[in-house]
Formats: sequence, structure tokens, C-alpha cells
Amino acid sequence: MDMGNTKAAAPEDAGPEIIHSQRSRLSRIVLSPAFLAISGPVVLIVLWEISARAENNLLLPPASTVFQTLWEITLDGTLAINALASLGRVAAGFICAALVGIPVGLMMGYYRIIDWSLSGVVNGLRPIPVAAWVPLSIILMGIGERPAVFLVFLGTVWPILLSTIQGVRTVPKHLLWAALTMGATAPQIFARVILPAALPSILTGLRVGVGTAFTCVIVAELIAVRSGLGYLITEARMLVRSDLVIAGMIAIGAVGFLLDWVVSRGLGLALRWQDGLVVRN
Amino acid sequence: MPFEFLNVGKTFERGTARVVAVESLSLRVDDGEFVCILGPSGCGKSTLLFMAAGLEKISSGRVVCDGRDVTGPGADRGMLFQQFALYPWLSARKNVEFGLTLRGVPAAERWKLAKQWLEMMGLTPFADAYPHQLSGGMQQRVAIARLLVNKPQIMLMDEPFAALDAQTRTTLGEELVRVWQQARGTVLFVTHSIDEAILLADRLVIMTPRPGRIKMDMRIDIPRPRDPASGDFNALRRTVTDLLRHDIHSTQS
Repeated sequence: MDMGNTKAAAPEDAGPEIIHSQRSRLSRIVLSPAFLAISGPVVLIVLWEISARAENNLLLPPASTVFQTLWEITLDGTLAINALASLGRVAAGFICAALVGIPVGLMMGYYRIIDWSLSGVVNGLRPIPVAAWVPLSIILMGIGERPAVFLVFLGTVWPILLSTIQGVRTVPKHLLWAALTMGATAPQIFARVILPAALPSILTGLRVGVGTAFTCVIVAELIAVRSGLGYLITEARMLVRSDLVIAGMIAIGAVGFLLDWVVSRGLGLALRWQDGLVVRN
Repeated sequence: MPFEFLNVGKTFERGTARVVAVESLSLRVDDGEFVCILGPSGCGKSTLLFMAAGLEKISSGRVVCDGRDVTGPGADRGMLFQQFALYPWLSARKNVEFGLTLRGVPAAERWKLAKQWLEMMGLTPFADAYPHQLSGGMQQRVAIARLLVNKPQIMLMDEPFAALDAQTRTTLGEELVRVWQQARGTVLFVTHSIDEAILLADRLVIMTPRPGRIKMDMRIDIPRPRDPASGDFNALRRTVTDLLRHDIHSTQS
């Protein structure tokens, strides 16, 4: 990818009054949302390239070097292997968190006794950041898959649990009454009323959870395991390969972005019945 | 078997305050009757209905349905709500099938019954629509179909038309009478609208303001379909209005 001299310094024509009919074609392209969205990063990269070359800075490599490194690790498979390792841990920790968080959240949201019994544990553990769990996880589980998945689970379970509880609490009472007066049993109430009614909130929790899971896996890989994107940048730091560190960071950002995109798309499909019911952008 | 309230009382505890909502009330609803409970707001008429449904605990006395004491909600006492209470993630058809699904009725049978009741309520073209795609009146029609398809011993209706405009309210009232006559069910209908009560009921029960007791229990013999502009209707409207006027003043002061 040649980032040498793109048209970064596009004519900024930001007059106060916007009269579309009198605008030239060029200014219409320049002021379009897509162009403006792309121009920000382009300006940043060009500035980075210029300053890194001018200073002849050994610690901050120019953008072109970083993108070259990124291209190399893409070609030789390093990127794919590590990304898959990270995503595998995200999936494992996330699935465990959902399997625990959703049922426990449904119970805590519906039965006050269970809520009262467990809220002390939840509120006690939740404020401890995942990073603070790293040393104990390593002591208990050593270095490897298990602490990494455990850390992802820990970071992910709270948003899923809390949004499930919230979802259950906001189920309109009359939906429960209607089912009860049609003879619904407790399991039927959960499966056919509470779960679907709380689903929008649960899915929001899952989406937030995926984001947290990805953050957690990178944190875990910095210390607790010897593969993955987090390990890639830690290893690069030890080799003083700042180009590889930055290339790894860009890869992490890209994978995180894709992950969120896939999850949001999935959510959109799962909530089709809400179309026209809620405001969507 | 009649549906009976025997010396039923309900006391709410709000902190240290005790509010008596219903006090030693007895009422017997016979099979096939359409009974309207009319009373000023806050007289405990909805509370009475929720106790009948088993959704609200009874403080004293008993509610007896089909010879058994009511201890909780059950499919023998179906209910219609002011908020329609349709499931927004299910189509009209699936909403109607809901009670049948809970009882494990096979899909083909469910489909047939739902089709029949949707047709009865004039909803055939909207069978696959979701609740939010339907008007309020249509939504309550779906809820009526969903209630009737379950064939409950008694149908409890808690101001089901209160959220609708006057025009829709009248039309739906007439339709409710029509399907009730065909389905031959027992109805206990709570309302604060005098016109609605006179339009619908075989028997009109008027409650006093808190604590709720029965003030008047009368038959309405005006032949159906009833015309709200007829002489009989007007005369009864005047009688009931006079009966309620005093109470409404006393609750507002």
C-alpha cells in the first residue's frame, strides 16, 4: 500500500451558508460525509509519515514502514494465526459468560429472593477490573488457554448479567398477567414471555460483552498466554520492533471493528420484530 | 357452576398506612351472564377483578370458581386488559394461538382454531400483522380472539375499551356482545362508563367508593341490540347517573 502522496490537503471549503444548488461538483464531493470521514485518517497518516521521516526517529517508524510490516504479517500468516487464537478465546469466554449470565440474570431479575441473595456477590466482584484478576489467574491456572478464557469470561459476564436483569425488570407486567391467565407455568413464562420481552436488552448486553471480551483477551494475552494478537505486540515490544507493535495495534483495531460489525448485524436480524416499534438510525 | 365472591376483602399496606380497597363483598355470577361492575375510580373494582383472576392476593373471604377456591391464576379465568397485553414479537395469529400453545395443542389444530376466531373478529386480512402494525381497536380485537379461543369458565375484562376512542369503543362493544352471544360465555366486565355498562350488561353491579361494597345490583332487560338513543336506554342512564353522582362528588371532595 503506497501512502506516499495522496491528496490529503484537499481544499477545505467550509463556508457558513450551504446552498446546494449553487455548489460546484467538486465541493459537493469534498463536503460529502464519506469524503470527510476518510480525510481525517488520511491527514493523520500523512502527518505521521512526515514527522517520523523529518525527525529520523528510531522509536516511531514512519507509516509506510508500519503498513509494509502489516502487509508482511498478513502474507506470512502470522496475523491470521494470532487473530484466530484471540477470537477463539473471545468465543470460548463469551459463550461461557452468556451461558452463566443470561440464566442467572433471568432468575435475578424475576425472583427477588435470588436477586437479594446474589447481589452482594455481584456488586462485590464487579468493580474489580479484569486486569486485577490477571496475577491470581496465573497463580491458579498457570500460563495458557485457561486463564485467558477465564479472564474473558470475567470481563464479559457482568454486562451480560446486568442487562439481562434490566431487561427482565422492564418487561411490562400485563404481558406476564396475560400469560398467567392463559395458564402459563413458570418455565413457560420464562421461555415464552420474559426471554423474548427481555431480548432487546439481553442482546445489547451481548454486544457490549463482545466488545469487553475483545478488550479482555488482549489484556490476557499481554501476560497470561503465549499467542494471540496481544502476545504479538508484547513480543514485538521485547524485540524493539515498534513497527510490528503498531501494525499489531492496527490489526487489533480492525478485528475489533469487524467483530462489532458482525455482532450488530446479527442483532439487527434477531430484532426484526422491533422494526417500526422503536427509533432506529 | 356459578362464579362467586364470598365476603371478599382487600387491604393494601403502604408503609404504616392501611388502605381498605374492598370490604366484605359478596357477588354471584351465573353461567352465561354478562355482568358489568360500575363504580367511581378507586372503588376497588379492578382490584376485585384481579383477585378473581388470582393475580392479586385476597385479604379475607373466598373467591370460588367452578366449585374450587381461587388461589392463583389459571386458564379457567381468562382476562382482557386495558393495555391489550399482546406479545409484540408475535403476529396476530401467533398471539391468538398463545394459550393453545401453552396447553400443547398440535399446530394444525391451533391454526384451525386461530383462523376461526380471527375470522369471527374480522381479522383475517391481518393474521400475519404484528401488533404495532394494527390500530388500538384491532389490537383489542386480537386480544378478544386470544381470550375466546381458550374457552375459559369466566372472562374477566378490566376496562378493555378505556384506551380506545369513543367510536371504536362503541363498535367493539357491539362486537363483543355479538361474539359473546355466539360463544355463550360468562363475562365479568369492569368499567367506569355508564353507557358502556348499559350497552353490554345483563346485570349491572354498582359499587360504592372506597372501601368498595355493592351499592346496587340490577338486571338490564333492554332487548339487544341496544340503541343508546332509545327511551329505555336514556331512562336507565338517568337512574344510574343519579345513583353515581353523589359518590363521585364524595370521592372528589
